[in-house]
Amino acid sequence: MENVIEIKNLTKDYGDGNGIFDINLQIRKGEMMGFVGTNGSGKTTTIRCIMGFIKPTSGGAYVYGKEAWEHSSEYIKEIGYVAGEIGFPDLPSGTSFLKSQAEFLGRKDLSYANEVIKKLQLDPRANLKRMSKGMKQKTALVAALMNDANILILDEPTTGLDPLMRIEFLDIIKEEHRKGKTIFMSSHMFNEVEETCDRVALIDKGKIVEVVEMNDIRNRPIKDFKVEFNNQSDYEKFKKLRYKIIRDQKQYNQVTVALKNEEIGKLFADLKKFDVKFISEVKYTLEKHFREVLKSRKEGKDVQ
Amino acid sequence: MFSKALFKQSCKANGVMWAIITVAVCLMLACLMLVSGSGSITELKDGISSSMVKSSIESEMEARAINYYLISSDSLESFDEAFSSAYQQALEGQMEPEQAQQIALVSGVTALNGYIQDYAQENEIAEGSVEMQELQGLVFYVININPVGFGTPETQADDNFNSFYEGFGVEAPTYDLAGILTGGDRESYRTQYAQRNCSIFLAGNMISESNIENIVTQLENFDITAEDYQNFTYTNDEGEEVSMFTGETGFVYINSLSNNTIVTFNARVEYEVGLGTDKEQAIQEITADLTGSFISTLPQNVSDSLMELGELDLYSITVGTIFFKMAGLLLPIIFIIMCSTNLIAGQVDSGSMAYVLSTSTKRKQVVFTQAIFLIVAIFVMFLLTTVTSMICLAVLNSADVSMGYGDLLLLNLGAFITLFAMSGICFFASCWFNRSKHATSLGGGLNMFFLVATILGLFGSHVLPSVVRIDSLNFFNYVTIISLFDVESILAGKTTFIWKWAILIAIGIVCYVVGAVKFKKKDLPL
Repeated sequence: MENVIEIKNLTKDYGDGNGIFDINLQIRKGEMMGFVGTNGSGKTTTIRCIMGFIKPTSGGAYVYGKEAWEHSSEYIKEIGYVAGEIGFPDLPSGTSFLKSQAEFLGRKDLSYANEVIKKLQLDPRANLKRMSKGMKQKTALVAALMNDANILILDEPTTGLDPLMRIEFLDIIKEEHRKGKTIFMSSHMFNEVEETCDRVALIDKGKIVEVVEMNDIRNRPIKDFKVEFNNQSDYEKFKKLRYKIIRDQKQYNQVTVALKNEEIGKLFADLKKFDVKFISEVKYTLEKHFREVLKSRKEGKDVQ
Repeated sequence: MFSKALFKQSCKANGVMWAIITVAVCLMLACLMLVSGSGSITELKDGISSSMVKSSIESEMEARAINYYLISSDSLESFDEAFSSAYQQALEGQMEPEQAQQIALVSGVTALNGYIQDYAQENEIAEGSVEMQELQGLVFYVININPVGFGTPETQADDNFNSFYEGFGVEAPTYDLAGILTGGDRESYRTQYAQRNCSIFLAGNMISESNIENIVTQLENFDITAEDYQNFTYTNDEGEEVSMFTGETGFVYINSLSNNTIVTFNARVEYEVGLGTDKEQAIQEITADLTGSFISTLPQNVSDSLMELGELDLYSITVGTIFFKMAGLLLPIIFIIMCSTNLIAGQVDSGSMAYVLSTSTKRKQVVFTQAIFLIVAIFVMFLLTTVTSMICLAVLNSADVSMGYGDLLLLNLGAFITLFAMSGICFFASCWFNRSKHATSLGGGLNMFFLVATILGLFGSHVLPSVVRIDSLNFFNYVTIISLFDVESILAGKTTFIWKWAILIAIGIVCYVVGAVKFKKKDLPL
């Protein structure tokens, strides 16, 4: 698949260990890529490099094969950008901002923007300075989408939104993705990218730790189940059945077992013989995955 | 290079601020031109100059009073000496006292003539000159010896002297001849006699028509006419404004001025002599001191400064220097500080620059468009002040105003060029910093410093007359670029202002270009 955005050995060194170091990342056409990391890990710096706002110390970001710092103006029209910190120009209302933005883009036709406004239930006539955080975020999203650009770069777009608003917001982004747009979204919330993205890159202290395919996480060959028994004898007997026990909590008569998908039937069959209090699947989340990755990196071990 | 959309956005964002400031500047200019052009400024100038002339005339009179007093008291003393010694001799020669007194009187008058001769010789006064007449008049009028019983020709005219005194409604004095012989405190008698009479003589002399004419001729150089001279007034005991130097009231004023001066003079001489100072020296010092207003101590400087004041074109100073170099620049400077920050640094700081740059508007275009916007905004502002000033000049009676349309055009153009350079500094700061507060501090701080230095420098600059100038403040004229806007050279019709403009334009261009290059190359936190 064609790479729309390619980041090659990108380094921006701010000194004192701040910055990003030797980042390599490819974003394919039509893909929705998540970009997670803690605050200050270098997400925004990477995005600024892609936008051509800052000059890399070495390496570079390429969009459609064009180097960002030198040639960003040639492709930037193809990118809809929502900045992490939203500041609007000194204009009276949302409408006048969007009109001015359309003028910059050379667009006369505002029908698509109006469609997005309707979908977001935004009233753009409001005073830009008095807009709530959600309204500002929505206005910024409309500005990013109004040109129907092929790439969307969103820097923590849902920060500060209430949960209902966030769902609404992500729905719009997902719909854009369905239309075939390439989306690169940074976030410090794992569950958010987990729900929406195809791939997720983890950045920590300015370095890419891992890039995972969400399908691999969702369709993991091994699943974990937690089982609790009503009495101790059943608990003892179950432990002898040679399941792979990954967690054992004796005081609750509780065990957590890991097993392959095809073994699930066998487990249920076995459990019929016991007095089971409850059984539940322990979901393997992205957060859990990354936490394990980071933990094992700290311990210097390799993860499977 | 030019982005129409961005220009439009800048117009919308800064338009209101621009309009308010432009209206304010034009209004201020119109008020200043119309108010100061309609004569009130000339009145002020006349006020300053007349109060200076008034004080100079006063101190001139004080000096004269002391001089008169010294002459008259000395002449009285020599009269007394001659009279008493001649009288003694006559008595020794077995004469009747009446006869002896007559001889003594003749001898006294001879002594007076001798005193006049000596004084004239000493002070190089020619026989028959006006000064000589004045001297003789003073000596004889003051003593005013009663002629009854004396038939000498010199004393025959004494009738006239009495009528001189009575003409001013004061009693004619009688010199106490008997007192010379009986002794007693003769010196203090003489002092009082001399003081009273020489003051009356001085006052009477000063208000005589020929003398006033004389004084007015001398004052013509200072733009003072006979009418002005009559219009110097003071408030008398009845609370009326009356003439100081002419007519009956003038007599009263000069008389009391002279009396006061002599009393002060005597008191101080007595005090100094009591301290052991040599009398001659004391008299000299005190005379200098008492009449020592700036006029008499520094006669050259002061008459120069009075001349300066007479020539001073207050209209050029208020409109040219005070408005176009200071008051009229203040608001536009505030505008360029705020506007240039809004144009670049403010948008980077708030992040709104991201929207502009993510629409394939290149940085080069952004910085070029914003610079054009700032320059055009100032240019149009000064186009409007030019129109305003032209209208005001057309409305004014051009006879009162020393400025032409050409001068005004150059002044407006100069103000624009000055602001172009200053806006360059602001724009540079705005391009250099990512935080708007830093940009405002550097650009605004520097430009405000320039303006304040210009205001301070005015008080030391030579557009002000030397009497009110504080020379040390002239230093500030060397630390502000506003000094390169050479209003004086423009109004004087010289060409030196042109190369100074060239420097201002160069400063502006360098700042804009360096700022633009920096903005193109720097990292933007968007």
